[in-house]
Amino acid sequence: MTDTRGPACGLESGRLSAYLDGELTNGERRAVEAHLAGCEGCTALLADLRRVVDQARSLADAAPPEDLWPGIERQLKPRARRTPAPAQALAGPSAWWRRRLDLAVPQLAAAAVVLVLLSAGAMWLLLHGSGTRGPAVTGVTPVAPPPVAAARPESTQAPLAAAAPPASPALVTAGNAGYDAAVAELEDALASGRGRLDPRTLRVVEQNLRVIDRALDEARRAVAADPGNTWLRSHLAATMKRKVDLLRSATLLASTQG
Amino acid sequence: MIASLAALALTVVAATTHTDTTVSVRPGTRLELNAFAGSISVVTWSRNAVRLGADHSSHTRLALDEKGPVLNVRVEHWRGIPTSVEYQLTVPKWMSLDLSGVNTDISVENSEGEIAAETVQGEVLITGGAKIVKANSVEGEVRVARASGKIEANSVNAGVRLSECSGQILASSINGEVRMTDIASDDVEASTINGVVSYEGQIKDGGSYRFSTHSGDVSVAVPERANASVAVATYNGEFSSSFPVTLNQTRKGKRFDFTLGSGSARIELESFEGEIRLRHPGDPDTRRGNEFKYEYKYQYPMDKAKREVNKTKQKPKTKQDDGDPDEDQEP
Repeated sequence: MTDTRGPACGLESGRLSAYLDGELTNGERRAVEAHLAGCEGCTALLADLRRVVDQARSLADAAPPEDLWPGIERQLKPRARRTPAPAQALAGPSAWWRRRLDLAVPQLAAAAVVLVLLSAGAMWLLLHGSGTRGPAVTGVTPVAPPPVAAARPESTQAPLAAAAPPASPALVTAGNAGYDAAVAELEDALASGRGRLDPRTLRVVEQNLRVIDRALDEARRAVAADPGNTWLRSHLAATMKRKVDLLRSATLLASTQG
Repeated sequence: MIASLAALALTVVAATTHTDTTVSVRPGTRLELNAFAGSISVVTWSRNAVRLGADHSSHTRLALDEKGPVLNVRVEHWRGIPTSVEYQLTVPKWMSLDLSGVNTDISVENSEGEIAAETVQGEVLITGGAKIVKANSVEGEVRVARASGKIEANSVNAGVRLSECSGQILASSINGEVRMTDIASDDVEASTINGVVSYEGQIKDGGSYRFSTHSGDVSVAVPERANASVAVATYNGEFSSSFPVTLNQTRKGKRFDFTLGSGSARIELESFEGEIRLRHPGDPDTRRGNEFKYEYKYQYPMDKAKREVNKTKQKPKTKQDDGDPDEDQEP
């Protein structure tokens, strides 16, 4: 696939993909955005790329396939050589989440669906064993992986998040369903592994989830009051990503602290 | 939990001993150390050798294992129950360091190598470091000074402080402040959810600077001759400047843009419900009591911003006026 469309397009191949993946530096990202503003071909291609992410929605009901493991393993390998897990699991978001992405909430939700699959697969493998390929975890009764696409209202989420003030259901739009599913999935996974976390660390995680949830609630209300404000949407999306990232990292930490 | 208690008990009852050993290393060797509890303190010297000093339980054995380009500090705990170890390492300046721990404070002084330092319940203090410097803590403060290259400093529940750093900087917290002083970088991104974001340093032409928080203030010291396009966005917050600015555009909500000098650099300042302040270098970055240290007359509360935009609307569009199609100008 090439991302050079249009006769005058000088965008490097792979730039759009990197942009979509959040792998560009701030300056590079802005350069791409400036280019997109004047290049219909690249804008169309970017839309195509995003549609690929959207199509992942159709996979949401599938159980995590075994061939997810290589990707998960690649993510885990750097820290597999050292246990217990370093704090980067919690403090250092991955490149995707670190970088600001000016995605609308539905686009974030679409991306979150992919995360649902990855997180479900990863956590099932991590917390419930994975034969000879995954990290060995003892003392855990194997159970089926939790349902992947079961979006739930926040009021029924896992105990870890129960302490957080629930967002008003009216503020959770249909476009957030994928995100809610991803969060629920990660919260389930973290609830399963919370016994492995040091109680002090668990308290810190819960406290910070509450901080994020308060921010999310405020941001959602603001978006509801001013839906045309792109900055508010961007701010909401960034805050949503912070929550997913903290949850994802906490589950990873739990899996390696046991 | 049980392991932690056992480790604590062992630390109490076991006699303490000291290890002191030195090994030669080849240039390019990387040091890896994964600790459980205690501290890791690294200083540097000009020798191509690593000195490992450690205070630890007499039941714990330490060794240095070299495998290819990696020198690993190996720890054997009695019955596999981890105990607290106080590491004091002296390493070559050039040596790359990969340090991690759980209940561990980590400090590195005067390194010129790549550094990765990560802990859960402890502080990270780094002086020096080049190419890639990563400092992460979940519960503790993270401080990085005189580092260069690609710098990442993150804490979940405490503050992040960077000083005299250069290169690409990414700093974040969730429930803590992010403060940067004497920064020489053209690419800085700093964010938190609940805390202050403060920046004092160079604004380089063509640079990119983004500072955001949800429930805190954003305070940026702008050098006198800075050339920057500044975008300010808030929802329930305020914006003030210790020097006059001329708004190019005010968009719906509390969002406005203005240009300093040639507008070469890009500065984004965002706080959902906090105050966004531009100040002179050296001015305090926090409010003292009910007073600002800088003058009110340049403050831009929203009513004034609206008056400004009414004037601005009479003018032709400026370079910064990107005219978001989905956003209306203020009436």
